[in-house]
Amino acid sequence: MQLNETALHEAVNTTLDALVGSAGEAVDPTTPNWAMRALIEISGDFDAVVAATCDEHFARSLAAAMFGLELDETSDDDVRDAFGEFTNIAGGMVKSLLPGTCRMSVPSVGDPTGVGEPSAVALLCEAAVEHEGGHVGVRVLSPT
Amino acid sequence: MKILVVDDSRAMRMIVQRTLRQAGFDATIVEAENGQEALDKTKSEKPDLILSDWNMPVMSGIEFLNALRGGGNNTKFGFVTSESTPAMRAQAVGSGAAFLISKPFNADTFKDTLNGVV
Repeated sequence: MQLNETALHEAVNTTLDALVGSAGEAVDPTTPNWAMRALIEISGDFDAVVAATCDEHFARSLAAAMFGLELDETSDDDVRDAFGEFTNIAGGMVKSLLPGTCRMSVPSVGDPTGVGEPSAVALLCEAAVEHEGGHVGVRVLSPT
Repeated sequence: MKILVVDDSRAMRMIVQRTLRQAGFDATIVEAENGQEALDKTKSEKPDLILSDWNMPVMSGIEFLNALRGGGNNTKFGFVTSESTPAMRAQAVGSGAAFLISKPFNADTFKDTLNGVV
């Protein structure tokens, strides 16, 4: 399989299903108010950046499911950890669709103003889903 | 049985533990968040099995495995990682890993893989 929008949607939903037990519905990537971003750099035969963003509800719900907590019991550290791991797994699936031999960085996670997408990049593909009222989007970018 | 679970994500360490229970492995779990901490805990805790992430800060999983084997420690070792290219599998086996489980995984994955190892 090659990296395209369909494959990226599948990667996002496979990751979601594994971590929280169910997949989401595809939505317009421009819809949500993003509260958190995680970036993973892929380098080697193919250079790319996987940028995942989500709203507050998605981030809290993900952390609650992964840690087995109620929404209001999740700490900010729990939320960053959970979203970083979500991005790590989705990033690994993206990497497996890229040509050649590449390596992945560990995720950088924070609010979108602090963890910005790199400049001078081209958008290769993007996918976003709604999951139980929360939203998450993943963009794959490549240096121009 | 004592299992050392190594991952920089606390959430993933919890999920690995939960999946081990779901797969029927009744084990004492020890945790480490990077290869260096895992190397120290392997010496102090003497686990029967090590399940390690590959991509971690401070010391990666493959660096940890190489340091372990280089020091003469032959504790059973498997990777649980989001990266699993054929080249990585070959490198893992060549360094002395018994298996490589790709994230995402489920209890059946653990049963199928670990039953032949422990």
